[in-house]
Amino acid sequence: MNRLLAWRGHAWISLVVRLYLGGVFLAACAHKILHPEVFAVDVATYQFLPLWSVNLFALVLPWIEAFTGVMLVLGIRVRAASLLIMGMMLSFMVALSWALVQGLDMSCGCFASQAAAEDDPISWVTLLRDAVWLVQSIYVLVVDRDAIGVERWLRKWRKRHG
Amino acid sequence: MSELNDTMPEKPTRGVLREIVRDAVIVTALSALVAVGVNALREEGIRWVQQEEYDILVPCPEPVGEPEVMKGDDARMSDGKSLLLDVRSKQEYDAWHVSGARSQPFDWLGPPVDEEVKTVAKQVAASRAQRVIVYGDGDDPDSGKEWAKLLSGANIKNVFYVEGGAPSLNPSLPKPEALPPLDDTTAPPIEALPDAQSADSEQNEKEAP
Repeated sequence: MNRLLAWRGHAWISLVVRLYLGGVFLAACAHKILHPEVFAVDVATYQFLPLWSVNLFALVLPWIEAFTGVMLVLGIRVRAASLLIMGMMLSFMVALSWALVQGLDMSCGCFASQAAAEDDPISWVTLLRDAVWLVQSIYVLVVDRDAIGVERWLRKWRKRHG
Repeated sequence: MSELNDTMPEKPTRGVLREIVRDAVIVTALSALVAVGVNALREEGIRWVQQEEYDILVPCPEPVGEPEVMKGDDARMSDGKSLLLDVRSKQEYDAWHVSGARSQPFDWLGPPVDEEVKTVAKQVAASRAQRVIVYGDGDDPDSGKEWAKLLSGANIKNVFYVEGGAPSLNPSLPKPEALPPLDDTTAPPIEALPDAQSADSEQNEKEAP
């Protein structure tokens, strides 16, 4: 098992996964950061969180997405970033399942606002998409012990220059 | 492999996990701080704790199914194995109805009929009928078809609606007044509108002090 995890190719596969996941999360956070008041309505539409926590969630979550996206792309603390993404994906999937079971006809709010409900309606496909991202984040968390990126280059540079 | 060992110091698993969790907590705290700062700087920043309920409008899918269509002269109408529902108004039902049909008036503009549908669904389930046949006004949209869809959505099987509604069952009944087709030539020509508008504006100018 350890030999499997220590395979050198993981770092390169993980790099591709990280760039993809990081890009997804950076794309996802942009609208939410620019329009927190719209995203707050999207969050409220799920009717999942208590009212007092809706704005709090709508304000902080996009920045977590932004930070984790940057961390994955640049290769900084990627396992912590993937742990956070894992947590976010799990919570999104729970909320999505809740909305689907309730039969709510709404937008996922992942990349755009509720106004785009016709373009990105929630469905079991959305849930599957989130599950794929969850698996990818778990992969990075488990195997990417020495991520290719800024942190690794800095460590090498320090080693060379004393 | 040696490169990996060079760059990655060996650490006990628990220590690595603790480090990952610690970093994740730091990132979350940092995100919260940035969110506070940015929201405070924004002119249209939102409140941290929402006091009033958000006005959300999420259309829930209507529990409608797909009933089958039936002709007015279908023999199943009178084979004694069907439960007939007349969803026209009570006055229309009293004036004429198919023998044995129950009156279940459907008002387009009335309150939601969810409870009525449930009640009828229970009656249907309790009866020994093999099918439910609904007929309405035969208009476009047809009230009979709408009721049949609601019943199908309430998990009632073998629901039919009569194509053309009551007028197809009794030709002496007046035909429904459907909306005129779009290519209706009796509508006033569009060119006439500007004249009418200018006439109105002239009238307004005259009346103005």
